Amino acid sequence: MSTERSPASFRDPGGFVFHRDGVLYRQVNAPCQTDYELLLSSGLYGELVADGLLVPHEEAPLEAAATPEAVRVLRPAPVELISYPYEWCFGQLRDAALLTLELQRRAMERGLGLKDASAYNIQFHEGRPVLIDTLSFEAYGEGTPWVAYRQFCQHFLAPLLLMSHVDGGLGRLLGLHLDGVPLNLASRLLPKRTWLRLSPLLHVHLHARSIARYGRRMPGGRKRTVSRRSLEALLESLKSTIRRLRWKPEGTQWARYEEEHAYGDEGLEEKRRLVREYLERTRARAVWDLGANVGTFSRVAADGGARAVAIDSDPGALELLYRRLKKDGERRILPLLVDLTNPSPGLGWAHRERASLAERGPADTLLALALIHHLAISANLPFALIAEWLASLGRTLIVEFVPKDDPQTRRLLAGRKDVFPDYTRSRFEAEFSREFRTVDAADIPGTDRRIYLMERLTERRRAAATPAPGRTDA
Amino acid sequence: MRFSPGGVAEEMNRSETSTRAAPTFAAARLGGLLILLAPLPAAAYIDPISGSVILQVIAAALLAGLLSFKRAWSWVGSRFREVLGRRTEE
Repeated sequence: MSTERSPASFRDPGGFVFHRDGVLYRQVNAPCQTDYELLLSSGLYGELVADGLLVPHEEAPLEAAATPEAVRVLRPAPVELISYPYEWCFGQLRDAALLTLELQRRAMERGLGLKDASAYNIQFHEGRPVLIDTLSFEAYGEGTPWVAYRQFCQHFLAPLLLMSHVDGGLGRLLGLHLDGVPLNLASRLLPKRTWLRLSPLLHVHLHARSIARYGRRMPGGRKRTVSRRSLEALLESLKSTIRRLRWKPEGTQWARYEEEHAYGDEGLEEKRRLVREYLERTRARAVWDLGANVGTFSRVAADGGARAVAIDSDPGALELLYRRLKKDGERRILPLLVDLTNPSPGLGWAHRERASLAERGPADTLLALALIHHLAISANLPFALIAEWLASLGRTLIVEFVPKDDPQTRRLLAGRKDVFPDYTRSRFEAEFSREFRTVDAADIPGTDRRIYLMERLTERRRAAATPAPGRTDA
Repeated sequence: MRFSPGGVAEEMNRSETSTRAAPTFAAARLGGLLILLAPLPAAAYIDPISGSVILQVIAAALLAGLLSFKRAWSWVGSRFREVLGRRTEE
């Protein structure tokens, strides 16, 4: 039996997460025992699980514990894919923030409170945000300030204000600052007009100044109290501010792409049919749609019963997708903001706290539709490197080749020197054949584009694959 | 932050004892609402940072005041409209 403690679970001495034989466990240690029991006995656990706000768990025998300090061992229901706040679009972070405030409100009604407000404790499960840290609750005592207030402002409010007032892509700052955007940084980056609004003024600008002035020193050594009524008003202020925040994604590079794409109706319908057919043949359960844009083909995968991760670098496209998914009640697609030329790396302590994108794979099937020309031409990536990386991410691949004379490729080449003599279909096929076996391929009517169904070679076959002949026909 | 087995319960008991021992706290009862002036130390593991707590205390009080004022104002407004409506009907 191999026990592996989660590299992200070390801050709270009250417990931690570990894996054993592929099963996820959460160990409860003595400091959290009373709070955990209160969570159950107060009825809060039952209420939150019934409403889908907290991940459910079963209690496992104490013998399953990873260390002797254990007082309980839980077996939480796993979420399909761990995602991080720096990979979420505006709407996802906003919903995660509202969930955190709702959890705190409901907890206070039952004599508990959140002892942390980390955005990393929220995950998207079945299309909705859910708290995964069962040990985040502690007994609330009248008069106690909310210990997680600063963390909430850094993990949620500050990045949301920056996304709303400055740029929708600024959620990526959370990848630089793993404990949330420092409030003094947010205060400097936010427009001056936000000083005139009560909520940003209090929760960010003056908050940052108070931290800078007093730091960890409590003047006069006095203990500060916040009445329940005042705390509820503070939470209400945070909630109404976040609910009112807006970001209009229209006009970003890709958000309009759907209207401008290169197919006629017949071509698009045939592409959909081909993707659907290939997905059925792969029997994929987990699909990663790379360069998903507004998720047209993630939906094809989801309609076929698979769970899809719609990966794109454009916050506007993903925001549109997220809103549509919510509106349509589609729960099998997770939008994920990732720049494929600079995908999420391993971050945090020892590079292991937050896993890289590749470490969270591999997917059963990758969709790389209308993507290769962007990687090869816009990012100057040779086919060999693209094929190698894709082979590390998924077992099967549905990939589209867009030739050089396609209007979209011509657009990428406009105004720059064509330094891509190797950008040809035969070269693409040759380089990809070192990593994949082509199972099937078909042309898309009305275009010169072609779609391939490929299967990753086994290690042995990959090693045996001979270098492709260097044909460079135009 | 200290951690001890059953820390919160222990702290709660300690806090209740100190509340009973100080007669000034008894005066803080208002309409059945007990306002504890000695907060219960939480078993939280994150650093709340004093500068943030100070701001929270002030912001929360201010927001509670504003909320009360807003509610009172809206009550006055609704009463005013009610009275005005009655007169118009007459």
